[in-house]
Amino acid sequence: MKILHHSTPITPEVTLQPEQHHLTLRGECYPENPVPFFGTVLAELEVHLQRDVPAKLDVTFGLTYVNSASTKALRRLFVRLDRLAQTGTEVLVEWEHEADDELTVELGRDLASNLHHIDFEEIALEARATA
Amino acid sequence: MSLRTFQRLRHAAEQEGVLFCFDGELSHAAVAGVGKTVRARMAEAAVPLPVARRLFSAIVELAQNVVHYAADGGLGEAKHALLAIGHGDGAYWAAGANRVDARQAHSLKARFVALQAMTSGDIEAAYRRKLDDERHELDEIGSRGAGLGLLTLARHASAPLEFALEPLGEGDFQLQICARLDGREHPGRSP
Repeated sequence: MKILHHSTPITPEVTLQPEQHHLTLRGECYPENPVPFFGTVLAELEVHLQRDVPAKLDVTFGLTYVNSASTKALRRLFVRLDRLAQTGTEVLVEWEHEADDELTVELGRDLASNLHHIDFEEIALEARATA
Repeated sequence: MSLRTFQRLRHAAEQEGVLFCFDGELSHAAVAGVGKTVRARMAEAAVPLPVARRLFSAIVELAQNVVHYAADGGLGEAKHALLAIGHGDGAYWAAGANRVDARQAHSLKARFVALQAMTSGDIEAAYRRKLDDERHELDEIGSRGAGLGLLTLARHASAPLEFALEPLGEGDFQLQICARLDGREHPGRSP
């Protein structure tokens, strides 16, 4: 497993399992300027895809909070994934969220809206009681 | 500040149900600190999760994306802002204030006025459009979010956003925004 980005208080951990073609982003996501962070993630993904276009790519998101700047960047990532899926790669996007977290569910649906080639799955995790 | 003035501040904070207040430069580290502290504070105050998530979103958007660049700073400089969250009158609220120049004030006023006239459905539609809008990274108010921050704030609020632009002299204004968040599961205004 390759760690593409170590988590910080405001950016998620990003890991890639190259053999399994599995990219995971987990943690908080609210950098004010998302360009350096997302730029790295997208660049690493492109490197991986250029090596060998996989038959299947899995992307798991477990983001606790995403600010509006990151939302735009994530949308671009989703669009990229959808384009990849259009060219023959089976793309599975697993969108993890706490069971009662409407905001994260809504965000996932916004990010995947009108993208018809990715396989978008919502994964409900057990809810906490309080913040 | 004299003790008397501090007492007035403390009484006002208590009366208004202030849960958290920050006045300072919003550097990278400061925003991370605000985020961490607000999460802890909301847990301590047993803010129900559904509204806590929206309150957190509101304070981060107020801190970051509503106006990206302060009037007294340039590109890339940390901006000075006053941020607060609280509970009173049966609802939670998030508020922020920072200095903007005349040009920003003019654009912001137009945006807020337009927002105040929009229904939840209108805001949703505008949000979806902005999400895919690749036209300009930096719009006329210097916001990298291209207005998505303000729409996010409006979207999660339970009533139209309140705002004020107080003239400061020298052509600048103090922008003040207040968002009300009810404890309801499904926020939204009547269409």
